[in-house]
Amino acid sequence: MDNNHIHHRIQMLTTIADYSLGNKVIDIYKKYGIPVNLVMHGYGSAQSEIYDILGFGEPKKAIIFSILTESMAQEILHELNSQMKLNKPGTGIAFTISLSGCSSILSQLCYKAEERFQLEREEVQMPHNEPYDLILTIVSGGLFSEVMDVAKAAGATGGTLIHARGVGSEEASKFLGITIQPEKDIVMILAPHDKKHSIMEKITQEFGLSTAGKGICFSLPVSSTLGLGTVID
Amino acid sequence: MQKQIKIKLWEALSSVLPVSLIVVILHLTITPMPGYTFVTFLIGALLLIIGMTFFTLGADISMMHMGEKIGSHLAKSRKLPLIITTTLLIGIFITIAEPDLKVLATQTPAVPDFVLIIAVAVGVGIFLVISFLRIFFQIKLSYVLIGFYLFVFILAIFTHKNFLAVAFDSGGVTTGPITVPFIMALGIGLASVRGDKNSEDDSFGLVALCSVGPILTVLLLGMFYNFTSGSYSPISVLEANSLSEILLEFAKNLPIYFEEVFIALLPIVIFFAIFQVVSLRLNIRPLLKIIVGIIYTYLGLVLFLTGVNVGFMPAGHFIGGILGRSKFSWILIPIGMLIGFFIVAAEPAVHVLKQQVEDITEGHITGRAMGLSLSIGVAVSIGLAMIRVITGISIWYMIIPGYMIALILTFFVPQLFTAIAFDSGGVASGPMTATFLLPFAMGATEGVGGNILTDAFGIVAMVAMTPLITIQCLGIVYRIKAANTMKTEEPEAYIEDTIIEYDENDGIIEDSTMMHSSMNEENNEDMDLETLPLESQLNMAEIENTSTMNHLSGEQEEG
Repeated sequence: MDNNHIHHRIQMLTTIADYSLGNKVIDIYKKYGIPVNLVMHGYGSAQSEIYDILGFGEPKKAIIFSILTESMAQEILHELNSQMKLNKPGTGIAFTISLSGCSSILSQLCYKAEERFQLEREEVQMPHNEPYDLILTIVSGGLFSEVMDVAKAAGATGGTLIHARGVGSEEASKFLGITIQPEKDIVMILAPHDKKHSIMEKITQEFGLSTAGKGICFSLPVSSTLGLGTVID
Repeated sequence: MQKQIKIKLWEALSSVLPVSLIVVILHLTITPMPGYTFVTFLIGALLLIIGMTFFTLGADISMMHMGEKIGSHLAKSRKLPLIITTTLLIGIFITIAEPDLKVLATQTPAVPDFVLIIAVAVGVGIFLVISFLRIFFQIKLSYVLIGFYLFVFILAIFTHKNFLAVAFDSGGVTTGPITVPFIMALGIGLASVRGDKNSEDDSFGLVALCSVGPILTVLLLGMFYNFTSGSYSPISVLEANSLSEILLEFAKNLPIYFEEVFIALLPIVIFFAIFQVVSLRLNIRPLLKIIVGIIYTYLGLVLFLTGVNVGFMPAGHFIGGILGRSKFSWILIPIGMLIGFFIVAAEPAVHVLKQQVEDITEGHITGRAMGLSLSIGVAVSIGLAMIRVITGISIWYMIIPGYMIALILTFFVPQLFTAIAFDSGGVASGPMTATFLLPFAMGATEGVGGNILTDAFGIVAMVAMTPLITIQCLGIVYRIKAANTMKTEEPEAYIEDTIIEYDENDGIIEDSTMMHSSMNEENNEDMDLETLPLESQLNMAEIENTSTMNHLSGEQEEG
């Protein structure tokens, strides 16, 4: 990817870290004046089936979505790397996705934040690491560990679970004064580009719309990643 | 793996150590205990820490999961008769199995134990049904609470005064460390399948209503039975001379709690098993996880209860006695408040509540803020209880204004905080209150020479009452904070906002193999599914977002 002419692009930075580290990450982002930070919680995948059954699997994670300029994102990734040691396995991951559009006030806020911080643009330059994709799978609630088993067999190293509810489908309905919507698991998997296809294929085979999992699966291109064994100097 | 255990162990240490340290300091300074009582206390504290570690680990993966699954499945079934009968039965059976209820029954004067247990259980069952129906028919929790508490106070006027303390205690007593996580999870499970705007608020409030049930039924019973004379089981103080005798005492008590906790867990496990067979049909792995979780909960609670009953009860009784007998009995008030401040953290159900509040509100209400409010609440309640011990004034003069304030506050506080506050009343009054604070008050009353039945009892009621006020005060603080950030945001809204498009420079890689024609047809539905979870994510995170955003945009304006 050519970095020079898309410096002003706005990106979404997703940070997934151990829940206890969540506040520390947010403090860093606040220091940088990032205009939008959305925080929620999810669960990481278990290291192994035995750990999972023994109750040590699926550690709670803080998931932070932030909107910022690309050069800020690079700076932040650098900062995260030195402060949180995200390159150590199991600590957390961070990745950016380029936006294809955004509201002008939001972009101005991002630029302002960048100016305020006066970044020296050329200084921080991420090495061109292996291209990754973000695979998002949405399945019926409670299938997270099964999806991860399949994904891991196909080459995924880990995943994150977000609980959600499904609207719009025929499953949702009214009961007395309340609306009942089926629980869904959103599974986020960051996978190397060359493994993406087989992971998605396996997940669709096992949990696709025609199966009981009623799953759908799609992927987004990821610009930069951190915390997947990549080393930045 | 180790990390998770470390977190739980740290949680347990930080909740049990402070109150233990206070007891140790009291032992070294003003209330030196006999050696064996002190050693028993230390061993008890150790068991508490281990027990708490396992309990919190297990409750997360078993009790909460079972409750949530049953709650969400009941809602999804959309069959009102099924929901009513199931919740009624759940309420009745988990209450009958609650070990604390038996203790309450023996302490209640005049009423036969059996009658009381059945009456309270039916009371909890009916109120569990009411709390489900309230959610389905969208009636505000505060209205329901105000209605029932008014009824409680009208009944209380006609009930013998000696019954009052026991009646109000029963509300806190029946909601123990097993029932609270389970009932709370039922509500959260029910809320988890809801898409309407009140679902977050309604995640809580089940325990709140279930605490009213026992109060009402005990008061009703009090009208039918003639109050003759009170009896309570006096605390037998263990006399041991060697470490082996102390250990023997623990070993002797262990089987009692193995049986008690087993009975208490049984109805929940049976209900879950029936659900699993009839409609849940979980796969083997999640099922195994829940089973392992139940074992953790079981072992943890057995160790915890043994430690607290054998180790903490004599110590509490002893310290209370010495302080009560001393010339400066007023010192009971500050020391009681200090103990109260730190002891609430050691209640097992408090951990579950804190975690649930943090999860449901996405960290908007932090566990620390909850913990602090609870600590202040319990500190105040022990202070009030000690004033009662010293002066012997009727509980009436504290309960009435207390609940009045709590109910009036519901008009000024966001619904979510009202629900959490009334839940936390039942949560704060758990085994620690029953086995340390109550003996402390009993010892103090003996020392002062008061009437144990009217002065010492009622402390559970106090502990169950004050959090209603402090948590709602926390709600007011949050409301003011939110209002302040809203103000700073306004100018920003007048700038014209347009959409900026970015050119797609990257080539689009088409993946033909994945695109089956059948998949294309379903694309529309896919889009629906895709936008929805994102929307709900945003909703969940909205609170955090607005505060961060306002904070930052405010800063930007200055610059």
